[in-house]
Amino acid sequence: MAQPLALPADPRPEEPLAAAPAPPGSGWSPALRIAFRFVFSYLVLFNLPYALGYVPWIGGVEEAYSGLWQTFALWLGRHVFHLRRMPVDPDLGGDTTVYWLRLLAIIAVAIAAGLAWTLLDRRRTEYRRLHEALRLPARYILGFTMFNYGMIKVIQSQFIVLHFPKLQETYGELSPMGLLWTFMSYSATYNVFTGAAEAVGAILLFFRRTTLLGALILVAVLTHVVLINFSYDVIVKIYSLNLLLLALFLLAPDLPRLADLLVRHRPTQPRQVPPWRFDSGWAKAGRLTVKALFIGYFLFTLTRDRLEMKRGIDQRRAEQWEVFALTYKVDEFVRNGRPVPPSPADPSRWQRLYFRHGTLSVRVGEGDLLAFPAEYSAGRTTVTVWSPGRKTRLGVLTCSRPDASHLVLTGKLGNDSLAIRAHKLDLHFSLRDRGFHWINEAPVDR
Amino acid sequence: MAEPIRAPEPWQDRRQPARRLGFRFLFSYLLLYGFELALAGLPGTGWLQALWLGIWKVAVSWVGRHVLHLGGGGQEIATVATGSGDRTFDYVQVLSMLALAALAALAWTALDRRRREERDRRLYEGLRIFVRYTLALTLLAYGMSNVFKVQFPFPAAERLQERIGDSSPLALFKVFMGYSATYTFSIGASELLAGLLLLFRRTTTLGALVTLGILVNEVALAFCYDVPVKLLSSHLLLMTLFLLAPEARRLVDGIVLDRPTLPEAVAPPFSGCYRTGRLALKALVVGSALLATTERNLELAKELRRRPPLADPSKYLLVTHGIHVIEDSPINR
Repeated sequence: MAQPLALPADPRPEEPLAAAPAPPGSGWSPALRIAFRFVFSYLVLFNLPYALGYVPWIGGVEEAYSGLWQTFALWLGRHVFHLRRMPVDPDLGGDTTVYWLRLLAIIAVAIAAGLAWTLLDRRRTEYRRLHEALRLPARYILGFTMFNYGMIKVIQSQFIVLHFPKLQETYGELSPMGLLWTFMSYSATYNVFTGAAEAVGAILLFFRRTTLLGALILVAVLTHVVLINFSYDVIVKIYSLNLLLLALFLLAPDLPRLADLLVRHRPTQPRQVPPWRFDSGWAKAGRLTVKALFIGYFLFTLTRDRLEMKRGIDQRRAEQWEVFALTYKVDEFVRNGRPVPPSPADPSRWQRLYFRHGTLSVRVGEGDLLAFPAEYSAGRTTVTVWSPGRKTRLGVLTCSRPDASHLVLTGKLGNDSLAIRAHKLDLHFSLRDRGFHWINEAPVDR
Repeated sequence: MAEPIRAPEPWQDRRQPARRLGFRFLFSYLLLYGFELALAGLPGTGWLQALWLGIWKVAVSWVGRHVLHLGGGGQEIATVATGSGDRTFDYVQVLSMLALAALAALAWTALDRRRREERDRRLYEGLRIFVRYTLALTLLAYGMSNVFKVQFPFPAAERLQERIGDSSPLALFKVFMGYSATYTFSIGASELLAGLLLLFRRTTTLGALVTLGILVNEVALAFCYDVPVKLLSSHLLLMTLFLLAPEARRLVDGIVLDRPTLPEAVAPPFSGCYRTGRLALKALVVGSALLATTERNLELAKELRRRPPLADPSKYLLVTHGIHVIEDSPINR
C-alpha cells in the first residue's frame, strides 16, 4: 500500500512535446465556469446525505437534511403537479414519485444556486482549487459506495433468492426485478466477477494517480448497472444514475487527453496534479497515516459487516434446507377416522406437503397450492397452523418420524381431526444439479 | 521518464528467434481459427465454408480416432451441427489447429532463415487487418441479431409456465435476456458500435477497448451460465487482446503511469498501392456482409412475429408488471 500512496515526488516534466495545454492560471471559458457552478451545486446538494452517512454520531443532521428535501418534494407534488398519491414509505425503494420530485427540486435549486453564483461572483476566472477540493469527497464517496456494492456481490449476500421456494415457482410468476434477482442468484462465480470489477474500480479511486483508471472501469460498470436498472424495473434508477454521474465527473477533466490518446492521435502530456499542502517530511507522513487509517477503517468495517450478513444468511438458508426444503408425498390421509383416497376432484385431500420457514404449503386437488402460516416448535415436534392471512388458529399437528424418510402428522385442524402419513421426496432441481460443463454436445436449454 | 518512450514496432521486435517463432505460430493459428469466422459473414462463400467444414470433419474424426483414441467401441466424434460451439468436435478441432499451427511455425522457421524486415512487417500488418475484419464482422452479426431481438426472443408460454428449478442454467440465461427488449437492444447497439470502430484504422484502439469491455462480460456469462460459446467468446477476446497488445504500453503510460505519450502510427501500412481499389474492396466486403446479416435477421424477426401471441398474458406477473420509471409499488418476487 505504501507505493501507490506516495505521490509523485519528481517534478512534472517541462512540456517536452509540441502540444501545449493551457498553462495553469489561465482562465476557464465562461460556459465552463457556469457549468461548473451548476455541477458543483448539484453534486453537493444530492450527495450530501450520503457523505454524512459516513460520519459517525451525526445521524440527526442527515435526517434533518433529507427531511427538508422531502418536505420540498411533497410541496412541489401537491402544488405544482397537483398529485394526490405520493407514498413516502422508505420500503418502496428509491424511484417513488417523491424521489423523482426530490431530484427535480435538487436540480431546480442547483440551477438557482448556479445563477446566483454567476451573478455574484464576476471576478473569478477559474475554479481549479474548488474543483480539486470537490474531487476529493467525490472520489471517496463513490469509492466507498462501489466498494460496498462490490463486496456484497463478492461475499454473495445481495442476490440470494434462488433457494427452495423460488425453485418451485414458475418463470411467469416472477416480477421483472425478481427475474434479475433469480438470474444473478444462480451463479456465485458471476457475482464474484461483477463484484470484483466494482470493488477494484472503487479502490483505484482512493489514489489520485489511479483515479482515471478507476473512473474508466466504474463508468463501464455503472453504465451496465443503469441499463439493467432501467430494463428490469430495479428501484435504484435515480441513485445508480447519480453514481454514474459521479464517475463521469471524475473522468471529465481527462476526456481531452483520452481523446488525444485514442481518437485524435496527438501526443499527450501527463495530467497536472497540484501538490498537496502537506507534502514534505513529517507532515506528509502524518497525512499518509491518516489516509491509510481512514481507508483501512472503512474497508475493514464494510467487509466485516458483509461477512456478518453472509453468516446470518448461510445459517438461515441451512435451516431452510434442513427443515423446510422438505417435500412429502401423502400416502394416507385419514379424516375423522375415514381414509380419503387421492382424487384430483377433491380439493380438501392433501397430496403433497412443503415445509418452509413460517409456512406449511399443501398441494391439493389438481395441483392448487394452499399456503398456511405455520409455526414450528423447537425440535419440530409440533406445527401450529393458522388460516391463510393468519386470521384464526386452526390447530396444532403433532409430528412423529417412524424412520428417516417417513412422517406422521396427527391432530385437529378446525373441525377435522387428521391423521396423515407421508414419505419424503428427494428433491431434484436440474438448475441446481447441472453444474459446470466444458463440453456441451448440444445446447442444454430445456 | 520525461521523454515519451516509443514502443518498438512489433515486427522489428522479432529479431530473437523465439519471438519470431512465436509470431509465426500466432499468425498460423489466428488464420486457421479465424478463417471460418471471417467467411461466415460474407455472402457467396457458402461453397468455401462447406469445403472447409468437410475437410475438418475428416481431419477431426481422424485425430479423434488415431491420436486421441476417443470414443472406444467404434463410436465416432459426432460432427453434426447442434447449435453448440463447445462440442467434443470443437475442442478436438481447436487442438488440431494448435498442433497444425505449431508444425507450420516450425517448418516455416526451418525453411526460411533469412531476415526480411519489410516482409515481416507486411505479414504482421496483414494479420492485423485479417483479425480486425474478422472480429468486426462477427460483432456486427451479433449486434444485428440483438438489435432485431432475434438471438434472445421473449420467452414462450411453455417457458413461463415452467418451474424455475426444472430449467437449465442456459434456459435461465435465455429467459433473462429475452425478457428485456431495452437490454438486448442496448447490448446489440454497443456490439454494432464496437464492430464499426474496428473497421477503421484510426478508431481501432478505441473499438478494441469497447470490444474488450463487452467481451470480458460475455466470456464470464458463457462460463457461468453454461452458454455453449466458451471457445468462441474466448477466441474473440484473444483477438481483441492481439489488437490491443501493441498499444498497451501507450495506454498504460497515458492512463496509469502519467507519462507523456506519442501518437500511434495510423498511416495505412501498404501506402500508395491501389488506394481506390482497396477502398472499393472494403466497401464491398463490409457492405455485403452488413446487407446479408440485416436481411437474415429481418427474416428471422418476421418468423418470430408469426409465433402465436401468449394465450393469456394476464396470467403472468412477468408480463403484466412491466417497467415503471416512477415506481410507487415495487415488486421483487
